Amino acid sequence: MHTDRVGIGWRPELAADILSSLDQIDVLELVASSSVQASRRERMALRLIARQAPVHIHGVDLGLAGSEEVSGRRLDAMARLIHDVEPEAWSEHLSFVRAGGHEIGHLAAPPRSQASVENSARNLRKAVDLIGAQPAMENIATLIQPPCSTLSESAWMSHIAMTSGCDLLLDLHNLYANSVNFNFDPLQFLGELPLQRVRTIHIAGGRWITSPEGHGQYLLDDHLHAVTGPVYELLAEVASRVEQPLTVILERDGRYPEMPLLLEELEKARQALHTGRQRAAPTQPTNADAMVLACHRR
Amino acid sequence: MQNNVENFLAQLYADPQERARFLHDPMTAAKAAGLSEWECAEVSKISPHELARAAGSFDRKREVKKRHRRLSNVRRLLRWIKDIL
Repeated sequence: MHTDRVGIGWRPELAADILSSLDQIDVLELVASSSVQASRRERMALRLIARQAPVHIHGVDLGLAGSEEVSGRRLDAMARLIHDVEPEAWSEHLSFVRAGGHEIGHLAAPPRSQASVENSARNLRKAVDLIGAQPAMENIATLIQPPCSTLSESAWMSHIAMTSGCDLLLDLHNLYANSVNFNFDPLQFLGELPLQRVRTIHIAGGRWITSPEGHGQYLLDDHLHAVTGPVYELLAEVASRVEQPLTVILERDGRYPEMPLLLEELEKARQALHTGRQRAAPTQPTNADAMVLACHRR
Repeated sequence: MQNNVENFLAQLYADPQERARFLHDPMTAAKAAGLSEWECAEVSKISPHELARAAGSFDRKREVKKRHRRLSNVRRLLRWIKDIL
């Protein structure tokens, strides 16, 4: 019996609606950057929320896949937040956000190479040492192919999961956006990932942008629009390929619709999970799964 | 070196002048950043359109963050005033 869960990212603008809809929300996700500076009273409020529903904390600015050693000060702030809120789990991104004194401002894809696998493993070890729990690491959406890459994204993610022992947070809209922007098959990508390491999934929406240079359209992962069909289809596909329970989080960062529409998106996610579970055939481990299992047996 | 490439990319994403210099002459900009020959050749293949999209997106994110930081500073100041009154 699977106990899949579906939840939503906690946003102050949605607070009242979320709290009054907790009977339809299984789990909440707090973005760390907006919470690390919270006052003591606000932290107590976050802790109270964590008593109402399971909470995950989601980091966005540690840059754990970067070659620069992750800042102890930032990790301490995350550790304090985790200590105060007592979440069920925490996560971060497979990205770098600063280098050489330059703050990029958002998640950037590092060159996908053996060196960045090792850098990620080193930073993850430091994070675990200070925080006491391993984060799940999320694939990012990118608008530029990282140069000097010697590994495919799926191989790179698999190597990081194997080397560090971390779980993967699979963002299906990031995967979908990358697949349409860089022309690859998202189903094949799923087949190349160690899916047994995926316990949490993000879903979101984006919008098509006409390139100002006249080079066609591209999909922007803006979290400002409703989740679309292909993302639900990918969710059903993942649910059909794994046995472990999945936690699905809807990410919405603005242009908030009425709460019933967001709850409808959660319901569609539940239906996609159900469809996938129904479709599930006896699971065949992928090559990436076999590599991870072999690594653990050693 | 991975960190040289990341430093170079971060500079391209965050600094419009460096970006313009790179787009004008990728090889020279990459060599000036101390990248190896292979790295220079690799970064020279960066699509100018992809770079423009990514950099535009990062510019907007930095702007939003700056606005949020200003707002949160105001909020913190208000909290401080409230506490001492």
